[in-house]
Amino acid sequence: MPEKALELRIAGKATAADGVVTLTLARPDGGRLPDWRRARTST
Amino acid sequence: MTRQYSLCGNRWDAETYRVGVLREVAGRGGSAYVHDVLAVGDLVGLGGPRNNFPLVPASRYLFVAGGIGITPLLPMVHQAELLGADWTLVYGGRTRGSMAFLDELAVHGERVHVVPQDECGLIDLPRWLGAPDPATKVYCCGPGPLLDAVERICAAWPPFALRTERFVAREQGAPSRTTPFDVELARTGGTVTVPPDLSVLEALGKAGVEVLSSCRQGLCGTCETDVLAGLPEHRDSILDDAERAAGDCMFVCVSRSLGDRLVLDL
Ligand code: FES
Repeated sequence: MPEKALELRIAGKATAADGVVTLTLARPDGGRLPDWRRARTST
Repeated sequence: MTRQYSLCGNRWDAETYRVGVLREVAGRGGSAYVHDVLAVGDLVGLGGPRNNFPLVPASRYLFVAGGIGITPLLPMVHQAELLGADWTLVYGGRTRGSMAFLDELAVHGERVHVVPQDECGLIDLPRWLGAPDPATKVYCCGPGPLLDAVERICAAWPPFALRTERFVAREQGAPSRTTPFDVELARTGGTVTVPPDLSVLEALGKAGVEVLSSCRQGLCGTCETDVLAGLPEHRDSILDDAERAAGDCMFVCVSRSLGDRLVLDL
């Protein structure tokens, strides 16, 4: 991806349905993650 | 290997992200790696989370999810619940067993309507969307045919009731090409020709290549696809200038090609 990648640790992996897994990702140091970014609008 | 997955966790949890990943049967790429190889404790690289379609204020929400399209809607469901809004989720899938997050959705009781196709057939859209309601906003994510059907019905709704009213796509001029171009699928093999009157997403859909989409206006980020070769003509409202210049991803619902050929990680 264009933005610089975060290095994250997989803190959890679970099966959510046949053929679907969920991964829980956290910073290795347990710190705060960037907020979810909103898609931009122009006015 | 970089793939785009939807965040499906709680956006107010500042310490963790959660992503849902569907195993793509034809894929020899990212999804199999996530399913078969990645384990707790492994380190992975992640681009900043982008895939987020903000919930606009409304007193009622109707969420319509098809299959793995539930993932980007989950955070919205959570937000609607936090806001104390009146919301309903209609969630279709092939079979119960193939439908993710049924357990955690069950706590919402009557608000959630689960429609496994093998038990109930397709979602009865006229039942849910038949009567336009100015107080309701409709968010839909899923495969193309579901979105098409929802769009058709919502044509009778007030403008912008479907998805969002504040969100307006950037004005785009005419595409720079007026001739068809080819999209080569690096993972599945094959080439799809995109004529001037179809989006890449539509041309892929016609060729049986499903890319998850939602807004189909270059706003939400759901259809992000990695570009391996060729020059995309970006027509979305998401990427910033540096990201455009990098040219390594595109939103196939609106963006096109500058050259004769694009190679996508599909
Ligand atoms: S479907 Fe929303 S950006 Fe393409």
